[in-house]
Amino acid sequence: MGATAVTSDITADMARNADGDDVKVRASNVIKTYPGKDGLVTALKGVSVEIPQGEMAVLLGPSGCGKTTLLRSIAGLERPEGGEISVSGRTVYSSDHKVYLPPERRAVSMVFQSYALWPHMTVAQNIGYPLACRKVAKAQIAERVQQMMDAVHLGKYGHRYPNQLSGGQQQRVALARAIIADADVILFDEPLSNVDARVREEIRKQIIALQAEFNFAGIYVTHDQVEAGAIATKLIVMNHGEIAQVGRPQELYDNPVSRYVASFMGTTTEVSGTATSIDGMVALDTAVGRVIGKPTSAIVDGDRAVGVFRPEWGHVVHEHPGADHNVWPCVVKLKSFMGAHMEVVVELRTSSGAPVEATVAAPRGSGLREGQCYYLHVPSADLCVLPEGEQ
Amino acid sequence: MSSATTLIVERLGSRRSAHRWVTLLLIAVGFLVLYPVVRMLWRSFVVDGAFSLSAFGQLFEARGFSSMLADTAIYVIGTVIVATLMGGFLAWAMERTDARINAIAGVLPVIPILVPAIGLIFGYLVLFSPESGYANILLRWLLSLETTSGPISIANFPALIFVTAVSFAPMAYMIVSASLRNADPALEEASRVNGASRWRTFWRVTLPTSRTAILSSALMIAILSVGAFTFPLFIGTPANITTASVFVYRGFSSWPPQQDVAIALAVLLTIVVQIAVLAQLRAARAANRAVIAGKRSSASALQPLGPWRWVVRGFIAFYMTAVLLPLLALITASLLPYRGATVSFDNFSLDNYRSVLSDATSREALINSFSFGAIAAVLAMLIAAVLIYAATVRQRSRGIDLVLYVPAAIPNTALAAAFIVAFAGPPFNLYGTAALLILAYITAFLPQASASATAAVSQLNKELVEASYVSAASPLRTARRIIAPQLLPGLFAGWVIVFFLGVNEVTISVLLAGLDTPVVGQVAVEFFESGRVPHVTAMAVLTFIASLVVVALAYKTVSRAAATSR
Ligand SMILES: Nc1ncnc2c1ncn2[C@@H]1O[C@H](COP(=O)(O)OP(=O)(O)O)[C@@H](O)[C@H]1O
Ligand SMILES: [Mg+2]
Repeated sequence: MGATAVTSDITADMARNADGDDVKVRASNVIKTYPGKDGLVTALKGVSVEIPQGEMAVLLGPSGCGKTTLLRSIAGLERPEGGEISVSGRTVYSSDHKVYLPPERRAVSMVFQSYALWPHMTVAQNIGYPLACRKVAKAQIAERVQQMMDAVHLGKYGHRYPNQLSGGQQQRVALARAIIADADVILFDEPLSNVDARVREEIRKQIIALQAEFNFAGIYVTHDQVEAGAIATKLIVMNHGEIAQVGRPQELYDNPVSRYVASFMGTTTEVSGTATSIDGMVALDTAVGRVIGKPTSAIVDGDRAVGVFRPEWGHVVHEHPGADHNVWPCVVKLKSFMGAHMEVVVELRTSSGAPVEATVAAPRGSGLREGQCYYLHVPSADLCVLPEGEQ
Repeated sequence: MSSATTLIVERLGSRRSAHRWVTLLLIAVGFLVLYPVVRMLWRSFVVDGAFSLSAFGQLFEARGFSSMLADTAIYVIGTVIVATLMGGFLAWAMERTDARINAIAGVLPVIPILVPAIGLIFGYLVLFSPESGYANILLRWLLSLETTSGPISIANFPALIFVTAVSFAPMAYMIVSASLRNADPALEEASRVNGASRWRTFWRVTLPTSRTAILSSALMIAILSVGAFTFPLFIGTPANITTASVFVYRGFSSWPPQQDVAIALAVLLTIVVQIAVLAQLRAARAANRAVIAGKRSSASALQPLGPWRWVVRGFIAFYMTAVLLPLLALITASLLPYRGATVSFDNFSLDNYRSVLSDATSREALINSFSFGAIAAVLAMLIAAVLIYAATVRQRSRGIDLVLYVPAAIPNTALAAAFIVAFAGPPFNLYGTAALLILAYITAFLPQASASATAAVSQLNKELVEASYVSAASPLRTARRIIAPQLLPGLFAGWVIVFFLGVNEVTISVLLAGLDTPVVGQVAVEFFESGRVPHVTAMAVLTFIASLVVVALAYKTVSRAAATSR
């Protein structure tokens, strides 16, 4: 798949950044295996990432793809078998040089999925602990803790114990505790998966605000694509212990390099066929005729490839739009109300007989009727042609 | 356990030296646990360097051997039946019917620890002594009997079995109620919905689903009653009942001593109990397997019994009375000057307490029991906590489990016999020393200490420890501020259990305590055999009250320690 291309991209990036810049976390070729029931499970198959100061990198991928493992390797809670990790320019792990720094000696802090608040300490004691560990004077700790509690709207709860707080409040204590020591790097492991939807949004905004204020480099793990898009300045999609694609959320949404990334970032419609390239674009011979789109990764002529488009890239219209390609007669099978728009499932006629279904977004009030015939048009500048791959 | 935890724990102290200390401790404890047993086996199977069964030949020909076998069989079988029925019925009533009484469901499991055998037994002795027992006086008056003794005597098998069963029933209760809690009551509801009557459901669904648990608890009680000493000694002796453990004791304490016979019997007991323990482990495993996986239905488990509810509640009340009434009688008797004095406020006095406390032996016994119990409890908890923590970290727990749980499979009489064989003579010469008693207590109660330590360690939350590391806390600070406060309550609970067991221990004490180191259990036996029952009652009450005070004080210290380590 696109993984090798991505790795070389990153190596190039690293070369560019090598001259003592503001990269706070750099991991290269990190390998981590666990003993499993039948043989070893490779949780990380040589993963490389780098996160500059002030960035919020989101690790996105389905459960079990190695996100937590990568985070914990960076924190020092797991010891990888291979590769190198540096934090703020200091090597904290290197398999070649036999370097392994324990977690308390890395300038990293972490927000746990379970909050991990100490039940025998008050809110103020929990938040002040990282400062106490760094031998900050008592009076100063009290002052910083109060500021921090105010910042996360917990000003009056300093004397409570964690079990006397709601889930959202507990999460904010965990946030405050991670941020108070001014660590260069803060790791978040699915911090919002245990709070309800309304609180989730609120805390997400708070995390963004705190990052603007404290300017740390963040790595944020989630399996929720919407949450990832909302918080990421850099999105890292993972697949089975490998990095599938890295980029801004919009890039990954508009120009996925693989069907895996495309479908993970949202709904897609796929048509597969044989590829031929024509000046920068790729034409596919498919069951619905010729499909033209842009290649987002290398496509070899004559190979099987897949044309992929998102619902809002397609347009269902009454009249033939006049374009000479990517226009197909279609029948509306199903209309569903999605709030801001209608989602329409249309059926395209094919040469082979087996119909192809496509999901398209239509503005409300466009007058589409179920069972009626229309034209579907997907501009070739939007449609992506991707290698068939394994999915 | 994950490699991350290993990583972190390895770093508590330097890796290598921590491992070395754990290994040393394991070897030391292994020696303490296994050496006496091996020595005992050696002594009874090897004569002049050759394998021989002559010790057993002597045993089988010993006077009273066959009647001892019969007595033991009746006692064990009777106790197993009565205690399992009692405990199982209580479990069903509490877990499955609206006869449940929440407060009592919470109290039942702690009865064996809180109500020491000696207190229960002497309570029964004062209630049912033929002439002066309060229950007998009351019954004679109620039934207008003209006799001066009776009508109820407890110097017989049924009474011995009943009192033992009252004390052991909570064990059966805990095992069966755990299995009922784990089995989905929806199974029973399904049966009711399909038209089966309440009783049919009970016989065809409830009982079969708890079959393995009932078997497991029956075996557990068999193990306990084979090794039981206190009940048959105090209740059985006047009735001429001699069970195996009493036989072993007499072999050591009577004149002329018959040590070889006693040791051979101790070996035999150990072997029989091994078989029961292996069977019990299998049954317990099967009982755990029988737990129904999947989501429990939220259906209320408590089925209405209608008018039967009060019958079932009546039984629960009867059981609680059987536990509490003797204790009341015990306290009353301890306040009266002599056996049979009329119960009235004018007669109440603290004379018995005064004489117990002014008598050098009994005063010393109290002090000794408390200090030995406390020390043994601290050491047993330390050993158990360290070894179990190491076992979870190393993921290799075979050796550690063996060492910690082997004592559970050795009846206390046999353990005491083994300690005499191994440590009484040269090169150790520990007979009659405090050290020997403390070591024996530690060994005997390691299984209970380990169970508590396992519970405490398994409560330790991995992420709470990791959160401390990513807060830049050193391993030492993490151990003090995060791990210790989390472990302390669980370890303290274990300490309380072992302390109570140690203070009230009779079986080991009576064989190992020397003239210079009297302890409560041994002095109680001496007093009993010389007819000073009021003194024993006073001592039992004193022991109980003082243990509660000690526990309360210790609790304060521990919670203060936890508070300051914040
Ligand atoms: N402590 C562990 N022991 C064994 N296997 C593990 C352990 N932690 C994670 N794994 C395995 O490693 C893979 C990646 O896990 P993880 O990093 O937790 O995934 P994610 O956080 O993306 O859901 C999974 O296959 C998981 O089963
Ligand atoms: Mg995870």
